[in-house]
Amino acid sequence: MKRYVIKRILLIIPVVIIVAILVFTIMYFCPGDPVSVILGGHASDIEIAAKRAEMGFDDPYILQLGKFLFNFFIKGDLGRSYITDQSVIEVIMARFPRTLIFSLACIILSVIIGIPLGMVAAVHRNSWGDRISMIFALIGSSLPNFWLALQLVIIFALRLGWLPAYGIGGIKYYILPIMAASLDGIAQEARQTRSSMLEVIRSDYVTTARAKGIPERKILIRHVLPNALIPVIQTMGNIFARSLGGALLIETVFSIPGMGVYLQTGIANRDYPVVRGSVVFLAVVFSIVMLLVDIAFAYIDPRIKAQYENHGKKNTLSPGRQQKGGA
Amino acid sequence: MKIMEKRIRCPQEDSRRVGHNMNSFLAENESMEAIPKKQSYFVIIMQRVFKNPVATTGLIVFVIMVLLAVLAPLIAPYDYVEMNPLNRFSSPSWKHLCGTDDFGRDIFSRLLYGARYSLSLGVAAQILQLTLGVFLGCIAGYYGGRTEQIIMRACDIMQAIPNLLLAIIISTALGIGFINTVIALGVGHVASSCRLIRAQFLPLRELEYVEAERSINCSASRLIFRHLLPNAVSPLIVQTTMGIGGAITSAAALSFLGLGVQPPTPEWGAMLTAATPYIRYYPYMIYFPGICIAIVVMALNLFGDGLRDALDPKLKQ
Amino acid sequence: MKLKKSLALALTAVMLAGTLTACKSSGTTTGNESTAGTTAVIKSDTGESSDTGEKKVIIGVSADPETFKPYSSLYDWRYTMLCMVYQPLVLVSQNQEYKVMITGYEKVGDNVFEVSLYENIYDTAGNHFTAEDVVFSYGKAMESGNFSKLNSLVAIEALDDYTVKFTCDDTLVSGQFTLILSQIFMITQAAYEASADEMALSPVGTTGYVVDRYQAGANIIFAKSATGYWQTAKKGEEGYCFMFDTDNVDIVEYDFITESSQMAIALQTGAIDVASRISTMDLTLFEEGGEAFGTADTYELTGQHYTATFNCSEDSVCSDLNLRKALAYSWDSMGIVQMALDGMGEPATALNHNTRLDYDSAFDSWDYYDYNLETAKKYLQTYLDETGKAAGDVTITILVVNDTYLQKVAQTMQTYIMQLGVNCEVAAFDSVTRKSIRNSTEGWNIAVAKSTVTDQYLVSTMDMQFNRDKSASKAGGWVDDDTLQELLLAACKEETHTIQTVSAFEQYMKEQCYALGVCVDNVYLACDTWITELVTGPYDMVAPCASTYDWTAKK
Repeated sequence: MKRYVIKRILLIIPVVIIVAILVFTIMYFCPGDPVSVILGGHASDIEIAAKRAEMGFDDPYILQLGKFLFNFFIKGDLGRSYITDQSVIEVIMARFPRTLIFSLACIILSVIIGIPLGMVAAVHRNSWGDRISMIFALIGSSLPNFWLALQLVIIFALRLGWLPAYGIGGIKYYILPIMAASLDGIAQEARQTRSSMLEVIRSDYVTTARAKGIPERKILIRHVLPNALIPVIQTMGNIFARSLGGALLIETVFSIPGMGVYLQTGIANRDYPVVRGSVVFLAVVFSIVMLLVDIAFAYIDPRIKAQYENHGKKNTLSPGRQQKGGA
Repeated sequence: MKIMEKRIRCPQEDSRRVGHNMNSFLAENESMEAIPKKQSYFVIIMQRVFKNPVATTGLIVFVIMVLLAVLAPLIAPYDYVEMNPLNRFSSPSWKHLCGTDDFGRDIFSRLLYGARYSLSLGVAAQILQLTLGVFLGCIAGYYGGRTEQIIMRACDIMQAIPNLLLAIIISTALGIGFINTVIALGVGHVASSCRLIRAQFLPLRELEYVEAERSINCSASRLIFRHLLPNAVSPLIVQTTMGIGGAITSAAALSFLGLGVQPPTPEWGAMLTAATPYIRYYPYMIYFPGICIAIVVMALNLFGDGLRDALDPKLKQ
Repeated sequence: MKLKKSLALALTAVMLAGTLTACKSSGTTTGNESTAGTTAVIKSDTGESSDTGEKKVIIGVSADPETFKPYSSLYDWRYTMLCMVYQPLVLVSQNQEYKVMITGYEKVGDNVFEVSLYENIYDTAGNHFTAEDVVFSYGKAMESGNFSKLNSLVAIEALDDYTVKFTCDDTLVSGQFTLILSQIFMITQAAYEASADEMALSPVGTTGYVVDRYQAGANIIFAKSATGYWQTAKKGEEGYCFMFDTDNVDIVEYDFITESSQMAIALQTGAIDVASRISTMDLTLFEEGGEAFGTADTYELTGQHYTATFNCSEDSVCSDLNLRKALAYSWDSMGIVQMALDGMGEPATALNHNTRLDYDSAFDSWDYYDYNLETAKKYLQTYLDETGKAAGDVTITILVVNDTYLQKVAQTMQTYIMQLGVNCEVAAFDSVTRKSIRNSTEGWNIAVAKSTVTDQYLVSTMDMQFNRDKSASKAGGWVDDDTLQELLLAACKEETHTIQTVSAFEQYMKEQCYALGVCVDNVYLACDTWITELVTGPYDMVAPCASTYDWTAKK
């Protein structure tokens, strides 16, 4: 298991390098460049050309890529924004914790609320409880995010005055944004849990356990849930991934200076260092999260753990490995 | 590694020994020899779905929406472009079932026409995501080892690149248009589908019947499609059907790149976005497109549930 | 059991990590906090709002300036916010010129000016401001390359401690020298060199205020400087400039609210005292019949001018005059105002605001392609006959930035144009992409854009947009018309800058239909009622130091 984890951690390096190269290349081929943004509205052609040359945008692709990779990985310099000249890494360090809090809160809520909701629905299948919780889940994922956020603000900030409408500060500033952002994740987890548990609940070993007289609750928690958890955890990972770089709407509505807005503005302004730095940073975080998800699988299902420990060699399905002259 | 290996039919007799899943019910029909297996499998699944009233309702609702979209020119009471400066922001009434928007256009007609684009974009994007995701996930899940690592790391890379960047580069490299919009919408989420399938395959790899099937030289594709995938696909059904709403609204977010639908062509996601300055004052402008999207999501989810039940061999049908 | 334990452990670890990072960011401070290094502040702020009897106003603005560097690219609202700490030599606001740091300037030769400074200017670090500092400031500004207005400035020299000589070249247009004096903030060389980060986070300027606390993306708090303000003249006295008054307010906080609907909500909940922009829909909240009527005062100002420019290059169908005229007659500016701007605006009658000083009032009543579908069809038919095309063969593309109201204007224009039977598409892109399309000759036929209120005279905008020697639009869609250039230069040169020459230029533009004004929108501000008078400065932004407040009425 340890070897597996170490191998995965080492694999993060090539992933990050490839992400950096890809992001660089994509931004290179994107139409437009930051010069027009830097110089403002009405710079003349000559000024624009001069600035481009000065910033090195006329150099050949390989040269620019080489310079970038060298500065980025060898010198460890994520650069400074072309527009505001602020150090990218400093800004990321200031903004990322906020985005992280959101993402974590969304996952925690989806676990605390979504999974039990799904369990209840699965256990009482086709009853009113099932129908109502599933309708709730479907509504939750179909509601337009913007509308939901604004309604929450109107109700809790404007009418009731309990919570602030925007901004950052203490915990109370996070409550409304988290409520708005997590609904979709809760709905997804509820549906996945229900679906997954329904499958497992009909397994033979569950029937056996019932026949043995084990109380229903114990069956649920000890036998059904663990086996149903795999897609649920994977969905958690997917939700986290999506919310890392993409809580843009929530950040805009609640004026929260997080990674979403930073990245979006960087892309809109073609602020290359900002985009490259943010994406690579998020890629690292993301890889770690996916690793945690895979590790979680190992803890849930010992068969998977065995696979990791055998480096997946022994128990694969490829015929070539086990038998000679396969099919 | 070859996926399509030489076809050798798994002998019927062996399936009884194994005792699990597909072969157990296929074995019930002894006249299987004459009918090609693939077709009957599909038919059987669909028959099971139709026996489920809730799922059938979902499918019917979806089909009705598609029909409404197709018949829009006949049903729509007004032209969807027709601006009427005197009749802006009129509330829902008998004359305008869903009211009028900020240009005085009839919202109901725009919803009907919009259904064409939204339904096709949303469904096509999800199908693209599903197909590619399943394909990659199956390969990763089945072969394991280095192949799996490569595919999973590629998924990491894909998911690390923001969707917006992908959409920009697709619109730059491939241009605009329906297919490119579908690609831009679907390609960003292929990785999440791929991961789900592979995650499902992880425990399945170890099951005894799989080992048994392999030992009788069952081809990889048969193994995947007949035995592993039906057991693995249910979370993916949930993810796909729930994601349609997101796909529809994402289409609107891409319009500034030239992708998606350009004004004045109606599209539900774009109508939602256009209604945002008016949420506090004319909320019906956001309710109706939102309800349409919700209906589609619900209908497909109900159908998806039924499909999942039909695919589940453990369920007593 | 083992599973439960592991799950519990994992969850705890995750929550711990979350809480730890939350503690690190500790809500009220961030990595980009201003260190208030070399400046002295009256009081250091530790908590949220400090209402210990101090005069404080909170203003909601839509974006963060992100840096206090005096010579970074300037957006309108950044300029006004930076005016809290920096001063230009001259201030231009609402077509009026205010001498801020100078006692006067005079023209001593062809494009040569001499400027005299006040002798008692000090910055908030206590440095004395002299002519050498003026030279230094302009040098730094020119180095940055961000100010195209400075292209006409050839040399700058300090004649003595308080006199500066500016030498410009022939490209200087009428009124541009005032802009040169007003666009550049003044700093002392000593303070700039003492700053570790080029004053990015801790600016040192010559006003009476300093940055007390800056939370990137969230808010800025300006407080009075301990060293006071060098200008002691009061209102009505010589040397007083409303923008930099220090008697009205002690602490100014700007909150960044990125969502426009939130601005009105913030005003309603009392989180802010002034909303620097509210949308036309939110305006109705505070008017009669609205739910918040009586809780806030609203102000209406003339906003931005929407200009439609035709692509007259060979690659575009709009290179034909008849077609341009057909299109121009086909849209109804009044209808566009009704539909796209919710009625809050006016049709345009020239290429820029009627608030400009050299705007000919005759423009208000001349025939500016008033909506006439018959005439439009006639011109279209002429075009079609000449080229042998059918109406359905012609496709017009309207290019805009993906701004809400611009898109609505474009959509309305599109519907009008389609009445002619031609095809019409709206192409809305993000700013950078749009710019690259606009600068090319293909892909667009009409570009609709907003021009900001910048200057006192029409000619500065004309020069910027239509002077083929200067304009970037030369690359894209601009026609090489000698007569136009001649008329433009005649209007722009200071000696010949009169209402007649400006009018001649506008007349010619109208006849050739190269570009047309479409409409002008209004902008709205709202503030709590205890603010007795809200004054606006440059770019129609709030000038908190100039406004008057009734502190006893504040809740």
